[in-house]
Amino acid sequence: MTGQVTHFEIYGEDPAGLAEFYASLFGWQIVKAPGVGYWRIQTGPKRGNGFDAGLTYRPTTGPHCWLNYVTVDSMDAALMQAQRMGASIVRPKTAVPRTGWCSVLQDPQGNSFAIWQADPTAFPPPEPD
Amino acid sequence: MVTQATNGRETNMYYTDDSILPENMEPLIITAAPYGPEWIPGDADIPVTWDEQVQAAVDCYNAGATMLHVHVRDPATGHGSVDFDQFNYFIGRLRQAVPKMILQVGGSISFSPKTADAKAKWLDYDTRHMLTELDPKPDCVTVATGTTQWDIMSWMSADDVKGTHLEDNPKVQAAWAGMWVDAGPAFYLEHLKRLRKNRIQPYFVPAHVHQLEIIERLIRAGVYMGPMNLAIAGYGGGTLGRNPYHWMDFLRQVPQGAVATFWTSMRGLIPISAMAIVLGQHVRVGNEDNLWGPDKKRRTTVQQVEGAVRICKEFGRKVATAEEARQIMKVGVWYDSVEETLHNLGLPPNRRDGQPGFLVWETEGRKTVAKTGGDSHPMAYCMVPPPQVAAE
Repeated sequence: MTGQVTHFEIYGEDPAGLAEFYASLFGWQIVKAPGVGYWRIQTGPKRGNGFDAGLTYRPTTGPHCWLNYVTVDSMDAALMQAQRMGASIVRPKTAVPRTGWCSVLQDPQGNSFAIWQADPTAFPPPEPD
Repeated sequence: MVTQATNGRETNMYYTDDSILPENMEPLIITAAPYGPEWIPGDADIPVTWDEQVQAAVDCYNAGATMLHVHVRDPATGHGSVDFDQFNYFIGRLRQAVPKMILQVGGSISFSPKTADAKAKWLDYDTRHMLTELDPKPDCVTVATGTTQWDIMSWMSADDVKGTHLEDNPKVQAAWAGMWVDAGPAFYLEHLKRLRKNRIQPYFVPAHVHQLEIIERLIRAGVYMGPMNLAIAGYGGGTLGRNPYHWMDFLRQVPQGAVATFWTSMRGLIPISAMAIVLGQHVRVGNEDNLWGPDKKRRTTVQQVEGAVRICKEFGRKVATAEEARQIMKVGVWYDSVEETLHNLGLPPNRRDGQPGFLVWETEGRKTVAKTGGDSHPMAYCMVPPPQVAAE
């Protein structure tokens, strides 16, 4: 299995404040996506349609550090292999609508990382409210 | 003392000989429900991005819908949104895109606080009461009056869910079968109070006649003072079923001054909507309720709106403009007293202490001039022939 670090996420209780912090510190371009609590970060010259990183509200069990994303070909295969090798799943496979799948894991020594699989058909099943 | 004959039976939905003629009916208000929270994009015409969700409203309005049943889907997760800021954002965009449309927000939402501070402040039902503080304000928010089992799967057939993620998926079907609406007095008393404070009208959703009775009691007690706009909600599984006699009986008990919309699901929606149209009532269509046409082929929300317009015109009834819909529903109107509310709804007054008998509104006791075509001959009142008759 191959995997390349492709982007990272930063979390905070006040993402707008953090956006200002990093924009001032590193000169990053940070733009809030309209209507969602997510800020897109461009750390340097833009490459393609993507962005380098994101900034959002800290999940309930979210880490107090940046989270690196490794892009894989198959989310299911990566999760199975990682677990066989001693990793644990912190956040199960989750759909980002029409974009891809993500999951957060911890390696055998407790370091958090995330994996990503692009998939334009990804969508979560609805739940009764 | 002469009184108007307005006892309990006659003040509820009452059809005079001419009520059934389409030219005497209020124009039809079509509610569109295009956000089907129970579906995913592969199932039906489900909008996901903000632009798609706004465009769905525009398309429904252009097709003839004047009220929009609003659910918000979080484009980042694909799930129904529980984010207060997202609701405000989306309503703001809707106000720009379809400024005349009546916005009716689905009230079965518990917002999720984003921060620990908010989590500490939002207690119990506060996460639902936040609907009353949306900014910009919607015109109305749906309010259930009574906790109800709401098993939407109870009458769905294999054909109904064909081609959707529910097909051959007993686990998900069981989840929807277990749906119930939590709406006891601990919720709705406070919710109605906050809606009034923020001038957002309730849109009542009684699922059977006993919940309609609760609404009347709330009005008689002064908890709610305003127009009565309501859905007659028939989804089976603990709510009203498809027996037309039950619909008629429910309708018979709706106050004369109320505005009722028939809500039901799947292909049953088509004949029930036709009933609503010919009875002078109003309809709701869209993928939240139904995915099919009478020919068992798929129909988008817009196609369903177009179908309601077609039936209405065929029957000779006018489809409401947005301005007419607002006037019919008395959007923005509030009353100042129990009596004013009862009188406007055509309900009998409250009983005064020691007052016996059936309750009626008192009048000055003077006869009014009868209109031509009334039950009595108009000349019986004045005995003076019209000028053109006298000249002959």
